[in-house]
Amino acid sequence: MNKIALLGALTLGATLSLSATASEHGHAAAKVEPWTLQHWDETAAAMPKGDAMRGSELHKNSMCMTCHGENGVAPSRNAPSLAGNTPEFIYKTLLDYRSGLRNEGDGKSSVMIAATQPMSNQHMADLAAFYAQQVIPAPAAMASVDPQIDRLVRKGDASRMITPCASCHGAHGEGNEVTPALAGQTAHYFVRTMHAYKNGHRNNDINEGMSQFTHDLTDAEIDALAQYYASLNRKP
Amino acid sequence: MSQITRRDLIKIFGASAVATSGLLGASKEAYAKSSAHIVIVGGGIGGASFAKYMRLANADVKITMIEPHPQYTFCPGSNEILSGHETLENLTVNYNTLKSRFNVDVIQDVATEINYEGHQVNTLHNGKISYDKLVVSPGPDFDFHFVDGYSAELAEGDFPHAWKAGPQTAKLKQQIDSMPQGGVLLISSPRMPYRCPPAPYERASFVANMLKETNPTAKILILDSKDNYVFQNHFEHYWKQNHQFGQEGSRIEWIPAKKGGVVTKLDATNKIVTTTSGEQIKADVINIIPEEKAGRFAIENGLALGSNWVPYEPKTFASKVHPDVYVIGDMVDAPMPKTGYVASNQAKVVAAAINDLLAGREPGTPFITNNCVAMAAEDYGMTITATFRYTGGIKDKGFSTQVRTSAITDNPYTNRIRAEVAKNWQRTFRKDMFS
Amino acid sequence: MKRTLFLALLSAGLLSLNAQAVAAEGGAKLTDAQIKAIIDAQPMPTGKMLADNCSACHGTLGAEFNEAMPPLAGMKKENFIKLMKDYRANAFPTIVMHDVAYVFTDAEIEAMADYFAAQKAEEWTRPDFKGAHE
Repeated sequence: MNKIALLGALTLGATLSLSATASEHGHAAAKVEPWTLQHWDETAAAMPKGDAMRGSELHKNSMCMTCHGENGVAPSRNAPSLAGNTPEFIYKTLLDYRSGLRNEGDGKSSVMIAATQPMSNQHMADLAAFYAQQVIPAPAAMASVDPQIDRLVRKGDASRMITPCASCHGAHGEGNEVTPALAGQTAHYFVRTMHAYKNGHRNNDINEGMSQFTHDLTDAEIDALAQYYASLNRKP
Repeated sequence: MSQITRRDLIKIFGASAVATSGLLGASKEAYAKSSAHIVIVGGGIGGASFAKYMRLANADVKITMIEPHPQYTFCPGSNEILSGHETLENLTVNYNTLKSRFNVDVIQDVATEINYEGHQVNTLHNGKISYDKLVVSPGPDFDFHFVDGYSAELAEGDFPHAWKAGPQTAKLKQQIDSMPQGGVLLISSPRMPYRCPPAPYERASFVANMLKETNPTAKILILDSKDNYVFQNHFEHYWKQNHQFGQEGSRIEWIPAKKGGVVTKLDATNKIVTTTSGEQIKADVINIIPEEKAGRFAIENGLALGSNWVPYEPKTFASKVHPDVYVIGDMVDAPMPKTGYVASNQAKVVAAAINDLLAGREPGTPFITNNCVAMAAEDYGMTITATFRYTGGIKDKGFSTQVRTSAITDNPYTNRIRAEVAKNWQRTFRKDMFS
Repeated sequence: MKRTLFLALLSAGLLSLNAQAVAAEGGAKLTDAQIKAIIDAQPMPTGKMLADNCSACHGTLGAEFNEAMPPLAGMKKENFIKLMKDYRANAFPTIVMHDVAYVFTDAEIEAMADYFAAQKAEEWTRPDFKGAHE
């Protein structure tokens, strides 16, 4: 919590440039300021009302469907499933790709950066409304959970200053506003995301609200958490 | 690869050859008699793909690659060097992974002669190397004689063709960057067949996009030895939107062969080219892309049977000269475009065929695609998908062709993502053979 | 009349563009029946022969996990088949896959699906990579 307060104070008032574009090659990517809680609150308050029907059309015509699946359930493992995630999370993610703030390098983000360049904030809100309406299929019954992983999820680990995952992502991994849902998420994508945070390739979280908890997680814990959330039913 | 000059050889082998040849010679003797020895001539896209896919198919065979250069620089992506979006360094790979991970013995040397009956290939520095199967993939050589006054020496000097990524690419970039305001870049595009058919126009497009910012009154004149080209609709569409193509003051002008676009003569001293219509055109930078033919190694060893390109047995890409010698890549007279994508897929066909034959099996049916991407800009890509199916006959050189090119679209997402797919492909493609 | 003329011009334009593309690829335009005859006359290429054509984009053995393009190694057979058939039918807009998939027969798609399903779902450049399941 100290970390958050300090960073919040340092970056207070910084603004996010939405016009900046980023490219994986050649040009130097424009420098985009990281999020502050205040800036996110303002952005969330100004988020247009999304129209799921328009979002559905855009999902098809802007090629989202190709990687994220017909109903937002990803058919392959590099892309996340978006079905049933929170509108705020989808909206912010699209903003971050468009600004280049979310750029994991090595081409991992290049298609998303390109795909979001033509999008208006309204387009992003429409897509967010569409994905939020989709339903992620209930996974097959979960195998027994390692007690250590269960404790990490529910109680955290005070010795490493790791708060419980569930405190932000929800008891059933259902997400909460800008904090994404994790239940049913593609395990491979989960692992990749955690490593990107841990290794500093991803820094579009607000006040390092996610990355600070990844530094002390072991690879084995990340793998186990990925399996846990992939097989967790969002609605028990 | 192509264009091995005397200077290259001295540069590469001058100091190190004596020190390493003894060791390499010894390893040659040590090859076990029990497993087949496969030797590859040429470590470009074809040779490297073959080496890796042969190893993936068969852990036991001995694989030796003879390649004169210590590194390989990819041509795909190299037009973007001219506009500053790509670097030679990023496109350059070495053979370390092929050596260490895929157990390929890469010999830095020049193959000179095939002894077909003796199953040996001779080299400049490592003597005769025996093989059970030989895979020849030296790429094309450039043929300068279509333009009177042009030569390999001029290309190495002030008239780089930059049709093989490397120092000439850097030189051409430097020339374009130092053009006077309002200067003229002349690109002469050759007749088919040549390596990467859309690349002359991609080059013009990237350079025009840069000049729009740095030298907005400069012009690009494309003198074409053809009357049409692949993706012409896409390039013209993009140029109309961004460079006033077809109007007064267009940044790009294209002269087809039928309107006198064929360049016949270069006056290097005065930087003037002459075309078939007798017109003389002066330019600040002259980029003549030469015609091509099979590499000298293939021609001198009779693989082309007296022609400029190498015939082959369609099912396995075995040469017509000897069944234990296989031919792949740009030099092959296949009904396929001369692209790295095709070369790598031909290499996989040969790897599968050799693996089948070594195991006493009949080789399977080959299947080759050329699913390629080109770009008009960092945010405008285009795709072509071509499928070549083995027909079993000799008509159409043993393969049928199905081809589609991407449509022009107003969907703002499509062009951008196509361009990103192109970049993504370039990275993945490089890794597919060298990592 | 005007509309007919316009359509005639349009289709002539399309034809000549198509002819250019074909010329650039060095082949002649085949009918569906001719293509079927070619396919039927030969044994089917193996799943590996077909699938290895995907590696330039999807990585060696379909196991490129470090890029934006989706990896194919370890993909569920039914997912692969459904996607390829959707691409083939042009069921929704794609960048290039509908133009890639349209040439494949049902049996060929199934052979590729089997091949990729048998590959290990891990980045193939890992030093300990072993490829297909033992």
